[in-house]
Formats: sequence, C-alpha cells, structure tokens
Amino acid sequence: MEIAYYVLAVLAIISAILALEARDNIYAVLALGSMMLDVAGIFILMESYFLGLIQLIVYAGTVVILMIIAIMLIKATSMTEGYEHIGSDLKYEITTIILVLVSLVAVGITIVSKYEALKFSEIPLSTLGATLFGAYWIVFVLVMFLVGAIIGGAFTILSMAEEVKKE
Amino acid sequence: MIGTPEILILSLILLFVGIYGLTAKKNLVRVLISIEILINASLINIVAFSGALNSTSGLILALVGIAIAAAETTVGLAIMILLKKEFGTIDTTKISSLRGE
Repeated sequence: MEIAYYVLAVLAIISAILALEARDNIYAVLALGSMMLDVAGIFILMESYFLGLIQLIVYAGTVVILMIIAIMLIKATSMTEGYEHIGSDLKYEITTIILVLVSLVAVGITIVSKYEALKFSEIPLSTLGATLFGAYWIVFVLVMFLVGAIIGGAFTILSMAEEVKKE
Repeated sequence: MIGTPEILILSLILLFVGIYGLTAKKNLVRVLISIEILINASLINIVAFSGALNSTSGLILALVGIAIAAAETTVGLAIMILLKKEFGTIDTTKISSLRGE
C-alpha cells in the first residue's frame, strides 16, 4: 500500500514538473492528465473512492480533453508561440508518453487491488449523498447556480471572441 | 494506511510546483496548468485532513472544489481563445505590451 503511494506520488511530482517544462503545449496537457491520474490513484488509496472516480472522470477525462481541443483550435501548440519556432524536443515527448502509460498502469493496479473495498466501502455512497443533500444542501444549490453562472460567462466571452473575429 | 504527514508533504511539493509555474511562465496554457496543479494540491490536502478527522465534510468540500475548478478551466480557455483572436498571441508579456495600441 505504502509502496503504491510513493510510486504514485513520485509520478505525480514528475508529471507536474513536466507539465510546466515540456516545450509543446499538447504534451504539457498530457503530462497534466498523467498527474490527474496519479492524484486519482492517491485518492483511491486514501479510501476516498467516490472522489477518486470523480477525479478520473472530470479531471483526467473532461478537463484534459477540453484543454487539448482548445489548444488545437487556436493552434497554440508551441510554448514559444509567437517567437521563432525552435521545434519540438523528442525527449520531452517520449518521457510524457511513458509517464502517461506508467500512470495508467499504476492507477489500474490500484483500482484492481482496491476492487473489493470499492464494493464494500466504509463510507457508502448513501452516507455521502445524505451529507450532500442533508446538511450541505444550501452549498450544493449555491454551487449549482455558481457553475451555471460561470458557464454562462464562458459563453459570453466566446461570443465576444466571435465579434472580434468579425471586426 | 498511509500517514497524513506523507500526504501533506506531497501536497506541499505540488503547491510549490504550481506557484513556480504561476510566477515563472508567460504562456497562458502554462498558467492554466499551474492553477490546476495548485487546485489538485489543495484537494489532496483537504482529503488528507478529511481522512484524518474521519469526516465526510472534507469530501463534500473536495467535490465542490472539483466542480468549481472544472468550470474555472472553461472560463480560462474561453479567455485564452478571446485573447488569441484579439491579439494573435497567448504570451502574457506580449499581450500587456499590445494593450495600449
């Protein structure tokens, strides 16, 4: 258990550093995805199974894909975008791909080793749901409105971008 | 069971990496990535204390944090697209120098 934690922690730190230092933005986001996977594995090891799965779905899945699509949309793949293109560095790219694969294997092993615990969790989902919709229902409603407002704001900003394009 | 200090050390290291990225990097994508790293460091911290105190409140806070962070990424990317269309670059130093033109 502790060995798995140390492996995931080291992978998360290396991925975080690579996410900032990789030359290509796409590979930087892939390294970020690798870090998200490792953090999800750490959540599962800490017996916060529901949060780990949410982290896998929302962060390692949706956010990373969204960032990659946005970067490809505006063709801002190079970190030195706007300056002379130096060219991609192969060692960063290979390291990122290896990191993502190792993180996937590590999180997969963690989930398989915790499979029985996932089925019979100490804190069942019903308790989590009862807490969320019981004592914290007002927080849940406020967050719902807040997220709605944020998404509305994002649409407004994007419509401003369309107006700029027309001008 | 993993001890809380080990988890807090990981959280601290990720926090420093995030602060480094936020202060040193000029590319907007890297700034967004730094913010994500910072949020993940804080989530690890919250879950560690939640586990240590054996409370579900921390998990609820972390869930709320994930929802807000995902929405924040959407706004960040929308601003990035707007700046790219307006100034033709996502370099923060170039954007600040082009602002008065």
